[in-house]
Amino acid sequence: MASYMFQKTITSICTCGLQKLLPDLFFCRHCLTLRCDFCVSHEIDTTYCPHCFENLSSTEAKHKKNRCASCLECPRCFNTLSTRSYSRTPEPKKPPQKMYYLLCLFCNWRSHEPSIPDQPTSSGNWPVNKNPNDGRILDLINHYKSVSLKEVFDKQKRNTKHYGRNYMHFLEKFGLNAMMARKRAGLPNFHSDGTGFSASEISPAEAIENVPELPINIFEDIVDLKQISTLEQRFATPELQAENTDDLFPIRKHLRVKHSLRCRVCEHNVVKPEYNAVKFKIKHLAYYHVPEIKIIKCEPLVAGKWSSLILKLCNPAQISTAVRFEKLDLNTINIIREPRRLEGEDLIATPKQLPAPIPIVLELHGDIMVPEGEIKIAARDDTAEYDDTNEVNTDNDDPKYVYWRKGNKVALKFEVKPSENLKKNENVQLGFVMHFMYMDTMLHVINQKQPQTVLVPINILLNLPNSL
Amino acid sequence: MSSKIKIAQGAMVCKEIKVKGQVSFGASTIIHPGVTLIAEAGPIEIGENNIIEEYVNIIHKFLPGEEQSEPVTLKIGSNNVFEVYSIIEGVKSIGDNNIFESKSYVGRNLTIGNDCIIGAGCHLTSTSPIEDGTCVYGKNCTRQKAFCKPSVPGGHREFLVKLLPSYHLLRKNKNPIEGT
Repeated sequence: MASYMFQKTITSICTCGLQKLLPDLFFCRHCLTLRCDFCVSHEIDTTYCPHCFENLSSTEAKHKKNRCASCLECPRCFNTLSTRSYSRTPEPKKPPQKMYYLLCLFCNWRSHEPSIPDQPTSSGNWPVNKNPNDGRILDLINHYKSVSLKEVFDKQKRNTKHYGRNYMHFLEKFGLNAMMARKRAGLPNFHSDGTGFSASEISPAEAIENVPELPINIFEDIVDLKQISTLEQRFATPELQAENTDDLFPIRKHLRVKHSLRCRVCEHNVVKPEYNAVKFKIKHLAYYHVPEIKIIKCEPLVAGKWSSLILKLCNPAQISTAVRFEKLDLNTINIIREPRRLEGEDLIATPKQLPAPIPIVLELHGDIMVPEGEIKIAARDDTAEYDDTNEVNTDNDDPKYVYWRKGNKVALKFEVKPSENLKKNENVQLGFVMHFMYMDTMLHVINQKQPQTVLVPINILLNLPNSL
Repeated sequence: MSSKIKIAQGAMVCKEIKVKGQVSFGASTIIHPGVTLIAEAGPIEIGENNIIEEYVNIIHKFLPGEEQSEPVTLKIGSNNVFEVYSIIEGVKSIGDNNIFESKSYVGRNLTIGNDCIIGAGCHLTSTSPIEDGTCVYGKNCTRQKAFCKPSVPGGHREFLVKLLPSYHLLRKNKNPIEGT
């Protein structure tokens, strides 16, 4: 399913001006426009381990350096490791002891002595390979943290200087009330203004005199590529970068983030994951509302000649819709359509302006003739494919434009004429506007009004192959 | 198909296999149905305790245009496992204790040592020999040292010995004296 959806033959232009594929787009039910990952704000909901699905709070995740405490990854091929057991008799006459080791089922890497001794418990307590310079790195990080904090304080101090002596108006802002109370009680002051703030001392790195020399035979020995780790393997553990495959250590699994998306204009959620499940509470993808367009037949395109193009439209919604087509006007394409006026409870915050829209620069290589009038598309019915007597009324259809009709799908005839000066090996780019009928149910919920139908325009671009 | 099959004692060869040319099976070797063995460029000698699973192709042919050269024997060692749909084409020789995982492909003029694992889907076309104890994995066919000897789960062979004869017809030597 993924492969056909990711062909960049048919793209839609998002409200912000980016060209996106339909599966990458969202549909805000309040603004009634398309949104893409650029014009929604991303928020981190939870962090979780992709293997054991343990949810962690952000502080916990930060403490564990965004890695799972129990799941391990193969250092050779980065698949999840599994635990295997065997029994061994350490000394004769004693009962055999069950021992566990780690095994990658994909590349057959296994944990091996001496770097990772086999463990007597299945849960592991696998040793963590520590960088010898861990302490020094931690010192440096702490030092730079305090330096940056000092910078922030200095900046604040500089800004407050302009107020002169009358600093009563920011009593509240810096918690000066509490400071005065402490002063009156004879207690030492806070250093909240940064005075007396000192960064922790670090010892500078020292160069050593005697550097171990290279082994004599380093240039002469034949390199055994089987033993040398790949760049990928080294970069997976940047602090160690083992050169020999024997020194590779299991990697703790990286945590993943569940993020919710929010429309940047109306601040309503577009996508919101559920906390403890692989599901979504809110999921307004354009794929669930906007009719999907697919090319089913395209006559070879010849410069300056009309040839027919048949597109299939599929209505994914549970209610019937109608579509109307219009030619794409390059002069008005950059005028951003005002989002729907939000009113009443629909408005949870003042509508915001999107960041500067991306100007759409387009060049169309030809002319397109779109079907006239309104074309109805039936609602999606999951049981329809089991129904043999599924007759669709085609009486009102103009056979000039409607090629066939089946369930919630309709095939439409378009005419395409590539321009005369069409270059070789260049795709023919054409565009049209599709208005589709959207049943606005939000109005009904909030204002007790009847659901209304709204025509939502969407700019569609076709990138057709050239037959030259 | 003209074929000359030699089955050693204890070997189990299903009837539904395609054989062309001279092929000999060592003791306790198990051949699943659907296997194709083509020995045009000389006889194929399969050693002991091998397991060759469904739809494995072992093709021993001359390169086009070299049909008239001397026949060469293709020797496959012992304790090898060829998993489903693996293709062995014009390989030089195969040692002992190797595993060819599902849908792996081993090309021409390649020598495979002992204790090697050819990962699932690996497509080997180079001619540099695979040394003992190598593990080939991933889409780039990365070769690295194997840390453990390839092994088949203990009960697998017994399970096959019990189950295969009850669902499939087995091939027998035409001349009983030849097989011993």
